[in-house]
Amino acid sequence: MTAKKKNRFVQCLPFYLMALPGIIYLICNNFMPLYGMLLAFKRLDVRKGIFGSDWVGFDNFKFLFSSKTAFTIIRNTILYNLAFIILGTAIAVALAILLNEIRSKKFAKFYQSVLLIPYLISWVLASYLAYAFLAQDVGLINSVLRFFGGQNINWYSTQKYWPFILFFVYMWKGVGYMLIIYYSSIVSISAEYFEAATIDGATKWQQIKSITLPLIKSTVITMVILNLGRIANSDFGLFYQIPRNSGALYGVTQTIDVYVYNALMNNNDFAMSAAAAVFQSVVGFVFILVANAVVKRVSKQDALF
Amino acid sequence: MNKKIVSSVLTAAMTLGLAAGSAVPAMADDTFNLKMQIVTFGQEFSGLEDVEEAINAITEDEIGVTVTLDPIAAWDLPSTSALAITSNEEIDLMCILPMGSNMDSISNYSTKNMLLPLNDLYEEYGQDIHECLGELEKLGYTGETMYAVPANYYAAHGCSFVALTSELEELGFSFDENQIYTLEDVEEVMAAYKEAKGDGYYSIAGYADGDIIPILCPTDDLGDPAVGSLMNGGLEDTTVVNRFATDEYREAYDRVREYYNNGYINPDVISITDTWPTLLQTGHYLGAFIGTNASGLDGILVNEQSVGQDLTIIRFFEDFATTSIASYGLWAIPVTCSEPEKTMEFLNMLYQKRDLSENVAAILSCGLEGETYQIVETLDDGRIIVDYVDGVDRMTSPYGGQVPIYGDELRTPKYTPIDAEMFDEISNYNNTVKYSKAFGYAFDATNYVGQISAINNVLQTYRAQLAWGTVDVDSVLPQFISELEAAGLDQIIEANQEQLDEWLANQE
Repeated sequence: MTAKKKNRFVQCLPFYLMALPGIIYLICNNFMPLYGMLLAFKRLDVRKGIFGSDWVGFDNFKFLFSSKTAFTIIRNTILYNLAFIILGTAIAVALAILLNEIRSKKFAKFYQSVLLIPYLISWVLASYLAYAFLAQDVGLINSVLRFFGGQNINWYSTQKYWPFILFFVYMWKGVGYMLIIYYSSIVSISAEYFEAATIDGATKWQQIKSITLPLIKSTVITMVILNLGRIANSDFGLFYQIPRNSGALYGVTQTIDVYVYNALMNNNDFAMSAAAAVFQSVVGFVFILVANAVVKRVSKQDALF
Repeated sequence: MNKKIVSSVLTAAMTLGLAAGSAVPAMADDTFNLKMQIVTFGQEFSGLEDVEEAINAITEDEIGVTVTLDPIAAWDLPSTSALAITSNEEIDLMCILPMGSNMDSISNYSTKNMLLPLNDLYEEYGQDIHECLGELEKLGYTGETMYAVPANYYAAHGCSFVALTSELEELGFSFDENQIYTLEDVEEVMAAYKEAKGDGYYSIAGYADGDIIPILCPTDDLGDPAVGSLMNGGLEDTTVVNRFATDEYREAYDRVREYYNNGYINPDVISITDTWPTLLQTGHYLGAFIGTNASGLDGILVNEQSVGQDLTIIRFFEDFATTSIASYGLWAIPVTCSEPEKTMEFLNMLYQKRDLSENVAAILSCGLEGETYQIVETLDDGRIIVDYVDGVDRMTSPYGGQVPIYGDELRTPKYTPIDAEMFDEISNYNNTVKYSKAFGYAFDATNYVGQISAINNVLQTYRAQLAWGTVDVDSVLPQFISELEAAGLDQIIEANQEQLDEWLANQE
């Protein structure tokens, strides 16, 4: 038995060697800094160092939960992420399927590039683009509203529009990137399936439902579980730059990251930032475990572990 | 086999050679190389080495110190310093830069034990600093411990409306810059401008971060806007209050709401990120409410340059000094400093009255004569008025102090168009202003960090909306106040009052 195991290890050795740079990177970048989590439970004293500083229990976490904002920011973070994960994935998969149906190679490439361009734009630029549409005095949308005899809308201080604006901006900016993975797994489906289905007289919709979707299911599940792991994190650029950090909108735009930034901007408190990051990681970890358990129950072969 | 031996011998020889080559010969004498931060606005100085050399020529003989200057952009300073000290990088003299607006503070570092207490060093080596600073000295203390030495700079500011002179003339107004007017006088001008110009023109250049309430209603914020304050600039009363819940603030909010409804303020104000000089350049605005001396009496001149037009100052509150306003730049010695004595001795030199030929503070703030500046006028006591050398300006100069933090900044060279009379005014400024009763006091927030973060978030949420009048005061203000209380402001005010009373008792 042991001989067999050893034999297998030797056989796999070249692969381990190939993986070595990646493993070293993971250890240096992801595992070694883990000791920094200690900082979240300490009051930093640089003369004693991180290990020597005094323990303060959960004191550093208090600022996250010390006001009623705590509920708002956690709710915003999680709900936006759920919307992004569920609706976002659905839209990305749909676009990937549509893209795959475009027969002209040239046009397919063109559309994919157009979809990808916003992903390459910085959030600051995106914020000015949004501002060009939403500004009260000179913004495009208000100008159109005025032209048709409507009233100006004060976008940057009216909360009710922002969940939609943020979702729209997020999709506009990110969908081109998200669909790459789905598109590539659709492209890799053997053309024979589709040919056979066509001969049997299946319509396009039937082909998508019975061939494409089942075959990319495991890719979708993997991506969703991975995204769930970051459910307590948010895209700082989206939530800080696009609403231009307008206080009037905090009720619907402030997420954990933005709150931490606003609260700690002035005092560089590493311990409290570490506490926020630990909190986000723990929530993300719990979500991954739960999601994986659910998937395991429903379709075992698609679970991550 | 032979080959192998030869190659290993060669390798060994090479390694030894490298080691020998890289070893720096130890300094024969015991000159101390002092690493000092200098602050930039993001540009790189090509003349940095010349400046270091010129300083070394003075300091090496005199106190046995040479300097290495470490340029850091003003906005990177707090995080760069904190990271460097945490990772035990050597800095000997570090700059804390609150810029009169709480952008940074001593407590950011002292609560993490990053700074050396300076009391003994100061007593032994800081005699000239002590003579130069006067009242300002208090700014460096937290309780009884001295953690930093402030630069000698404007301790106070006045509250004013600055307006484009050309627009005022067109409207038929003129103001005396030395007189104290009332807000009603300012309102008259704003109304006239709006009436003359109409839609698309605004009397007040407002932007999201520019809270005007502290200008309309001056307070002493006791070192942090989130910990309670003394009303009326702290000149009369020492009762710590929640300023947002006072009648004075209520009146100011109503006033601004009226400005907004009258169309003096751009309805987009809370999403405008340009600052007032940029807005004035567009020609769609009349002026702005500012703390006049926030960047010095000479600050108006700098602003006139960036706006490109003459500005008129209309003052409506006398110049007053508080801890926050006076804290501009401070020098601290972090725990990573290897020779604190020499560092303090060097710092002391920056506050001495010296001839130009051996004046380190002048070199640090203006560079070298003939290379970065030329002398326009020399005053009787050796102070000089200078101008940039031909073909060079503020941003292209091979070296420029940019930020007034180098020792006695009320005497270091000033640039034209400041004249002799104005320079005297600058040098005497701190003797002519009123000081808050709590001047030098700052709340020790060590045990309240969590609440203060929560309060800061509430301030962020409501400040801009209320301060620019974009919302109805009656419905939003009570909500704002109740959230402040929920975040723990009342407890902090109580603790603050206790600390302040104790501090006041100790002052006597």
